[in-house]
Amino acid sequence: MTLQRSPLIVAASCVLLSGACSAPHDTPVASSSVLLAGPDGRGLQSVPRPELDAMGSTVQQRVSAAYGALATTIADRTAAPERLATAYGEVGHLLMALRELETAEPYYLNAQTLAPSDRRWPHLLGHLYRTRGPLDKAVASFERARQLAPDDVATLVRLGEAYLASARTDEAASHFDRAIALNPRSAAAWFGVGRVSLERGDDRAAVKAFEEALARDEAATAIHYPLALAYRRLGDTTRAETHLARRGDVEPRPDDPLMAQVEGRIETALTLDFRGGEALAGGNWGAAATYFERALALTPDNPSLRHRLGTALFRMGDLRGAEEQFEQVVRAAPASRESHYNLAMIKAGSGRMEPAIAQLSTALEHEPGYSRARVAVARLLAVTGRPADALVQYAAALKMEPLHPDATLGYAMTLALVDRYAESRDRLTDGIRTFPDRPAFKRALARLMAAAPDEKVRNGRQALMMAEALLERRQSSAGDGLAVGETYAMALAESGQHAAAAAVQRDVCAAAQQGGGADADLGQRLADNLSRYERGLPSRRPWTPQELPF
Amino acid sequence: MVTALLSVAFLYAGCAAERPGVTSPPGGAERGNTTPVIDSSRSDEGQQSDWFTDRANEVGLHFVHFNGMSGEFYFPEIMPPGVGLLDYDNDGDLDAFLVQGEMMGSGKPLSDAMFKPVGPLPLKSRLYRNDLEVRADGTRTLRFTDVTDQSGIDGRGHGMGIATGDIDNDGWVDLLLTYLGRNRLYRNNRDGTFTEVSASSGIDAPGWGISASFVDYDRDGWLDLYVGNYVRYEFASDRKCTVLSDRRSYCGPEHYDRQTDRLYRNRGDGTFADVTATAFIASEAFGPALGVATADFNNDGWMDAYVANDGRANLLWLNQRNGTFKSPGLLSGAAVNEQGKPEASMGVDAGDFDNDGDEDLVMTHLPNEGHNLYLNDGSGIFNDRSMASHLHSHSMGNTGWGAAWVDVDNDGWLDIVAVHGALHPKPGRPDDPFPFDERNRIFRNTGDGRLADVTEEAGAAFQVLEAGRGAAFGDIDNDGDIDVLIGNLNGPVRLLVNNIGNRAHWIGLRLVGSGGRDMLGARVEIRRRDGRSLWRRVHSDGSYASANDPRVLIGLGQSTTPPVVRVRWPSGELEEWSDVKLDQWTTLKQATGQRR
Repeated sequence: MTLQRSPLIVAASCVLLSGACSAPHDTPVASSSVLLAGPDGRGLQSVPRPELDAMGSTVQQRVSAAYGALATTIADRTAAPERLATAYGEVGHLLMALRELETAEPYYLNAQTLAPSDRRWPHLLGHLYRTRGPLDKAVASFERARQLAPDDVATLVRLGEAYLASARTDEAASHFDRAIALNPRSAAAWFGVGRVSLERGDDRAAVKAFEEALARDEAATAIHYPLALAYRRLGDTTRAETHLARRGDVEPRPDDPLMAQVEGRIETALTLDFRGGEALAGGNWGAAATYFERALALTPDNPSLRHRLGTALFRMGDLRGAEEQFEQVVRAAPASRESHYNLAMIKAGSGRMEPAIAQLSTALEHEPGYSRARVAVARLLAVTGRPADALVQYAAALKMEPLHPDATLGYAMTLALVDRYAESRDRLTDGIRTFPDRPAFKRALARLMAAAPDEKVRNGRQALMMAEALLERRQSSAGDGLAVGETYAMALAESGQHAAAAAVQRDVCAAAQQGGGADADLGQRLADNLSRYERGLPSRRPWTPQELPF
Repeated sequence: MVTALLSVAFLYAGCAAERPGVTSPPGGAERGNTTPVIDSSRSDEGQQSDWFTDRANEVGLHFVHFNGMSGEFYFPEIMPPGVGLLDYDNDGDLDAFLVQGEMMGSGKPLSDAMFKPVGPLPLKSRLYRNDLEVRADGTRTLRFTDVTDQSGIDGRGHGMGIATGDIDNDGWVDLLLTYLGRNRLYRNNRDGTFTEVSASSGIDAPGWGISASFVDYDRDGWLDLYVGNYVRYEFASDRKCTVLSDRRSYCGPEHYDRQTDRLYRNRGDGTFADVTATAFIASEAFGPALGVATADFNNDGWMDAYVANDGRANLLWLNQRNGTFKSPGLLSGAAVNEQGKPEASMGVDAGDFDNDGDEDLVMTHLPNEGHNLYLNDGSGIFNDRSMASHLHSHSMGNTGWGAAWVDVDNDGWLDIVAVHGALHPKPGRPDDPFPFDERNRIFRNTGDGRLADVTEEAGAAFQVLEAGRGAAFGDIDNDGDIDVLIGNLNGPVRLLVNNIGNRAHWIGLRLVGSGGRDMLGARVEIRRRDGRSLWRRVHSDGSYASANDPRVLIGLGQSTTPPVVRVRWPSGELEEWSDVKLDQWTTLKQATGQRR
């Protein structure tokens, strides 16, 4: 059956394609509403011709070739059903890889009709329906796949997930259990057992299963959230919060070669970009960079791809490579604010402050509302001796985003750099109330009360109490530990305990040297304060501009 | 099944076409000419087999939304419109406010539009007065009159949504209209007209507002305002996005900077103070917000707020009773789904799904996510029961927007009506200029913790495929059941009149303060003689970009025994009435009941 193109389509498509009306083009690729009928007598459904004219040329060629091969196979009345099924399935694979699920469905259905004993088709149909619904079809498809391959762990896990999503927890549990019996190392199957237990309200069983899953796949950060919920329901909020803090997006997945083959079926810049993005989200920087490089080989002029390659390289620690990519991006796309920002961070990190400020200014010229760049430029202005200008930038950021934590903290800390200590104290006090989860506000206030030159602001006793509280709740990171230690030393010194302050400061200096975290400025500041404490003097410098937040 | 899409009659106008699903008024009537009327009465119950009937066209709601699309895929063109139900003239029936758009893109002429605008130019959001006539025998005539021009409301611009509340305690409802740009606040002049007070009131910060809520969060007797903001957007910096096959589509919010929501405290003198910077104890970042629902989620007597964010963790703001809100973060169980994933939450509503006296949450999502039901344990801690309730499986494959807890059949259990419409052009339909249509759905509460998809039983109005967005819920014909006003993107408004609810018994309540203001946030407990209670809340917020009937309608099933009505006012005071009559609307005024 062939549907005629209606005049409306011309009217609409002329706008879509060129912005002006033109004569309708009637090339074969444009007639995408064509339905391709299967051979008579085999119970097949007509399949729509894929929307080739909307696809990129590489994809278009691949899909067009597969579609052409299918048409040829259909025309060959001697073609065996399995061969015809494979031809349908090949188009389905390509469409599935492109996430064109609605269009892929009839191709897979026909393949399944033609080759009912081939487990590929129900397995992939199961994935298709699990993604877009309806779930009862996902269950039916995975059940069919399981009947054809009863010991396939991936099928069992996916079937269990489909049952679970359909509120059929008993069936879900039995399939996850079977998967574990076949492969006790399957984190995905243990994860499924945990989810079933959580759904049933059996929180102890859920905790056990999630812990088992984590033990098998530590990188599967998605396990932490439901595990945290199970601990919460058991009343163990400490463990719950610990797992919440480790929560991520990486799910435990069963080895699923069929699906992997489909996902790798088409390599275009877009599909590679998509996979690179997944790798980035999963923290797999090297794989992400490889995907982006391969994508750029196909479309070298794509600034978005190049930016993402730069980001992956930056994450890998290849700053030179990253800078090169970002430079290319801003040359090709001068309004790419994120690349300007990243370049500025790289330049500032290597001491090139003025070029970094210029880079951020360019980003802000293109987008004045880019608050991240405004906060960064404010910090750099303060670092380069222009705190008054920094305050203007912080204020502008806060006007746009009143609850921007870094702008709030930066503004408060910069006030002290221009000798407005009381205002700084008040702002920090507000910040502690507004951002209770950010210890940087408490740390800054403790330091201000310990080391502000304004005696009306100083309060050694309170500074010491705050510093001790911070010590108790100290984060594990070395940088944070250093900052808290230095704060504690300041508070001790202001309280008259100079010897103790000096001892703490010496520990801080040693830790900084051991950790390699002491740049020249930090090292000098630590040494200056140590010298003061050893001479029985308190610090009178709460922080340096370098300590303002990014 | 005859869908609106198939019944379309296309016309040409250069490169523009009429919208799918748009038909002319019957008899060729145009707006401003004869206004058709229909009878909607209990006497024709027996003839109504459909649960709902679309009567927008018949009653004079000849409104077609224009989204200004030109093929450029500008992000904002896919988001509106909201709709509103409000009694602006205090005549006892609900009037309708319909949000309109305009041409998208800087300086783009109307001739670039893919679809011709329908209606007089310039396009404006429109206010329709309900001229409901109820006769002594109970029969009634529903009829709407377009009163936009005399109302003083200048609804031009990229309209997004509407929120309603009486900001000056004069007993007359005022309007907030959200925009891509500055929001607008209109004060009701009590004579059928409004005065814009956006700038003078101090609520006109620039941005992209979608949903908003009037709420007295500090219990000072004045309605404050929470505005949910989406992303920072300018046409000049619109991003271009494609799907994996390289086909153009709309970018998601992750391509833009999130925008901070705003909380405005009503000073009681016609002005508001922006207290955003000081009122929130933040552990998470704001936005991008699409849905807002305010309620007392932890049963401490103070109003909290729940904000549905698009693709980011949702925010539950718990009132600290000192002018600030604190988010419990992920531990609340209501920020992300059961698997820890943030979802593309669009519409949201709070209501007592399981009749246990606390506010549960429903929110609508993308097709691969399914909608969510978060069950409250009474303390503001939630458990995701989307799968167990079957809401997840029933809603997979749908793109949800407006939604609400409504007792469609007045059986005493809150059901869900969800409005759907695609966000991305549907693949496989290259010849369709507007492939965004989906089917709206009804999920019936079966009273055992589950929801049944009863869409197929709901009649022809729920077989139509359109690009639904906003939805407002209320008893538009005052006949004792909840009707639905639906705003369709780039399509005609629908008024789904409920045919079945009032076959069961009900109580209808308007809860007002001493000045006549609808007491948003008041909670009603219906104490039935069998010992079981139902709880409902006075609210006009929730759903998506829309304003609902602030009155409370409680279904009682077949019970004919008048229950005791207990009201907890936003101030915390408790009053009781034992003489409220069944099957009629009653106004309860604060301080006129028995103090508890």
